[in-house]
Amino acid sequence: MVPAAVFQNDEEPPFEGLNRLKLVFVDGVFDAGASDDLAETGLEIERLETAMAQDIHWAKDLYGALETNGQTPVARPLAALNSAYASDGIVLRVTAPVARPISLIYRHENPTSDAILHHVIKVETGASVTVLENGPAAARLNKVMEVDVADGAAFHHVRAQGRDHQRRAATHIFARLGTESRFKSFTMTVNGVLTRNECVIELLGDDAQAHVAGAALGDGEFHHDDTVFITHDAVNCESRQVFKKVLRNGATGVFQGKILVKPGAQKTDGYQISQSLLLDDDSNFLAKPELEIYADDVACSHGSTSGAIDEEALFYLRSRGVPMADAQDLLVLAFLAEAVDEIEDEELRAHVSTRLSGWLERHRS
Amino acid sequence: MADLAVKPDPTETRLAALDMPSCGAWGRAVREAALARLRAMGRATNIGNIPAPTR
Amino acid sequence: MLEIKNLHVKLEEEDKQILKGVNLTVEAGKVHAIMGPNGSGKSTLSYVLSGRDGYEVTEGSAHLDGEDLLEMEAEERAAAGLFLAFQYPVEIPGVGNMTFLRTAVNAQRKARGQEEMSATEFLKVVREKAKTLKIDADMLKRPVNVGFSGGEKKRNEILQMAMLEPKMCILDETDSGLDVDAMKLVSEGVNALRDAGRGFLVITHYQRLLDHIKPDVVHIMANGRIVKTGGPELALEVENNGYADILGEAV
Repeated sequence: MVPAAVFQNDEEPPFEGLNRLKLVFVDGVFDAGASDDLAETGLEIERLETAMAQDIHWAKDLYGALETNGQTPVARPLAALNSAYASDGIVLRVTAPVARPISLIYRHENPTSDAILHHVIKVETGASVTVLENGPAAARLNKVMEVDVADGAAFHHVRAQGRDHQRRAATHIFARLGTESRFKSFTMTVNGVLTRNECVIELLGDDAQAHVAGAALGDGEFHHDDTVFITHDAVNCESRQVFKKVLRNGATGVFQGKILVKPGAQKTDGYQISQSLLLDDDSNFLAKPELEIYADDVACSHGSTSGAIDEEALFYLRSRGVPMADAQDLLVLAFLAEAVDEIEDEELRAHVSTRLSGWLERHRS
Repeated sequence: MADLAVKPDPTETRLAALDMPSCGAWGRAVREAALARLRAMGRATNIGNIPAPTR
Repeated sequence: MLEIKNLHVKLEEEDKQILKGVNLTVEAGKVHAIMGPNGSGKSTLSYVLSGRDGYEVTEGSAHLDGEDLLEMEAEERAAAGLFLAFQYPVEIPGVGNMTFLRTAVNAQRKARGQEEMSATEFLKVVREKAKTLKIDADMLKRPVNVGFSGGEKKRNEILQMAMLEPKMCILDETDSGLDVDAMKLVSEGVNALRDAGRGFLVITHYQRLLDHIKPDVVHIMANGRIVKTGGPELALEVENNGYADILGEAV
């Protein structure tokens, strides 16, 4: 048992005030009482347990299947463990554009809880949905989300990880994208002694788009790992990986991102950037950007940097009367902006920005 | 570095503990398949490629 | 207003004396110009006054309306009414120009115990002032100075000056990188801010800026000191004969 204190501050939970369909899990167990009614236009929502109790179910072709695909060439044992032992989750079928976001709220109440959650999401042709996630879920969380985005469908995902600092989380997203489909996932991480977010995406239909982004703020005992593997297996697809981490007081950030362009995946447009802002000499950023390309007509670029705060810019701001701490926060937010801007919805972007600036204000040295 | 403490018990013991009765045919099939994958991975003792901290 | 006495400054990192006893008083309502060859210490003077790191004052003092500038942080100097228009305005990717301006204006107001400007009020004022400097809405939205031309950057400096309404304005080589039209625009912006309560220190290498911003007093700086002080005619003398004559005479 690795206990993780349930931490409270007066900060409002993320996405508060948004019109959304709330699905609440407490220490990894679905709480129907705290959740909204599951009936929603354009959606079929079931609990994993209910779906698994059936003899026949559409989720059979997805559950563990996308995860299995994602096991090569790199093994992801925690994901296999999850598929075997998942205790709860949702099974979601999206049949039309859904008006409001589906909000998965993970409450953590028991300081020694373990949770293994597994969600299966199928976005049918022409349908679209936004899924929000927030909360620490448990002392230790293992989560897998398998997402099938059919032709012309769109999946948007915005996640806010944080709050309970002692919590540990290992998460996986496995996604499969059809022709002209769109997949966008953004994760904000503040706090958390251990976080590993893996994202494995396969672009299987032509003209598909996959964007994965993350903004992390780490102070002290903080190990944050983003591992991304994007496979281009169709023509004229676009993928973007934008990861920014701000680290201090010995925090560690890891980025392992790969773009694999298979033979025949011509006109691929791949972009990958991973950057860290190290606010002191004690923090680490470990990056492993990779490109593997087997097609000859592609445009792929990648970059990875580690740097300190720009002293020139800091002085410029101060010379205009902005106090040191505010100037520093402003530059930190500016550094994170490219990742945050990956959130399409303006309201959601504002929610995330508010969280980030709130965290910075509370963590001033 | 933080301890990534999710280590399953030896697979055989956990197999028994796996909550199968509530599963229908497909649920049972996918879970068993996942377990087989897990076993193939050497009982998940190798947690993948998290790089070791430099100090 | 600005009173500099016997100011000696060396670089923090190396044993290099840059300013070797500068004496200068700028009165409210006056425009003083400092001219001088490259390396004479003109820009160092502007940086030391505005509180940039990397310099060490070994002797002397600098006061703004009786307040000891050298004891203050850069942001405190700004709130006290000192403004430096940079020779090389800094690009800040990710920070919108408008956000930057509003943050600065409100930070100074807060430091002075004044009420912050509301978003609507701010927008109204900034649009008005931007218009006279031919700064369009797009430039206000873009990240601070990113992708701006030389002229746009300098106009942006003057816009900041107009918004912050400082008591004492230091312009460091504001004419560098400007074509004739841009120089006119910038000068008009500066002249519009001239009033009885405000002092200006215009640092320039060439006389041409002083055709547009007419100085009351001209100083010649060389080798870390002010070696000659006179009226506007001194600038013309530099223009016609170069620095060599004056410096030769002064030594």
